[in-house]
Amino acid sequence: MTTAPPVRITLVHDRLRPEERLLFGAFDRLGVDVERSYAPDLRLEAGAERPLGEVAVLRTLSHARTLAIAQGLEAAGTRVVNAAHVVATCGDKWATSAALAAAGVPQPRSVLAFDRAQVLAAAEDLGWPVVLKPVVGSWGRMVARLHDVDAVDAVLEHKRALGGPHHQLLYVQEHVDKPARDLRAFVVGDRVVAAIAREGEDWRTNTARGATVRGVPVTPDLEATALAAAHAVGGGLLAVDLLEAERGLLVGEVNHGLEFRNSIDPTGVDLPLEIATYVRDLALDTAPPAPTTPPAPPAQVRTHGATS
Amino acid sequence: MQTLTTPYGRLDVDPATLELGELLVSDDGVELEVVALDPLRFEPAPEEAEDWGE
Repeated sequence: MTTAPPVRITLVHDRLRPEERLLFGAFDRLGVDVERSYAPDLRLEAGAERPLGEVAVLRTLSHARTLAIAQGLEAAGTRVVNAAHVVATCGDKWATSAALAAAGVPQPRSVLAFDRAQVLAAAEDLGWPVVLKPVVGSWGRMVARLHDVDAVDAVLEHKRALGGPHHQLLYVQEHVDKPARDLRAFVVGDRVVAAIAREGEDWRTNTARGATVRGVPVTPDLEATALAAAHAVGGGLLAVDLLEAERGLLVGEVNHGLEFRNSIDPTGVDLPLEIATYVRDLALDTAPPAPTTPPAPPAQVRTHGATS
Repeated sequence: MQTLTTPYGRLDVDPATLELGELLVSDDGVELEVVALDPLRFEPAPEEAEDWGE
């Protein structure tokens, strides 16, 4: 029997992708009413109480927009999936590296530098080639594998031309020798519900770059590493990318706005239903709004006359 | 199905099934996003931004 949560759930989206449609369908299958909120129509006022209800699922595309909405809604008393601090950490590769390191989660060696000399020093230390990534960005965009000083100079020149503070944060990672694939674990709360391998010609094995996907078993090692990574960034609904290095599994990224349309058939796991069930259970665990009671009359204040 | 004329080309759509945030391509090849349902309004879909994605 389905239990409908006694609280209001809202899914916030902008561009309607297959993932959002699949989620709406999954909530329908669970018999859970979910309101839709089209992000461009939102207007959040500081101090407003729970404008979108008790639970909000954020599916907006922009990291900046998602973080701003999450912060606003949390301050207004809404439980947000994913939480603002998770969005803040996962949306920034350096913040993710710092969180993983603090929790002792294995990852490629990662360095933040601010100028050419330190990038070159990092490359010498990590060993050529190195990978230079924007701290904010996705789908493998503007990720460069740099084999020598000339390549570093070319990319840094482009970054200077692009401008903007994010491009002045130079996030350098060791290049990990690995099979022509990486792994992705789908974490839903405290479970790894499915895992895939992404294989492709491009060294960046993003499905956005044409990588193909097949389901892989959730091994104990994969499960433990993915859950440790998810816990390190704050938990929730996450896709943990893992590299198979000689020294074991390394966490490459933790994604907070997971895309799963291409992973349902290869894994045989109903990912939208897993996500919708997690949100439903979270809502069941969320206290409904207190009944409105008339305001208490103001306490009588007696004045005893002016004193001088 | 209905043919709608927009400043960005014509669209063959069933207005009753459209949803906010849905993407459509006009016969001029312009990607349009449904930004309002009543009245129905389309805008050119925003370009992919640097911070979009997972």
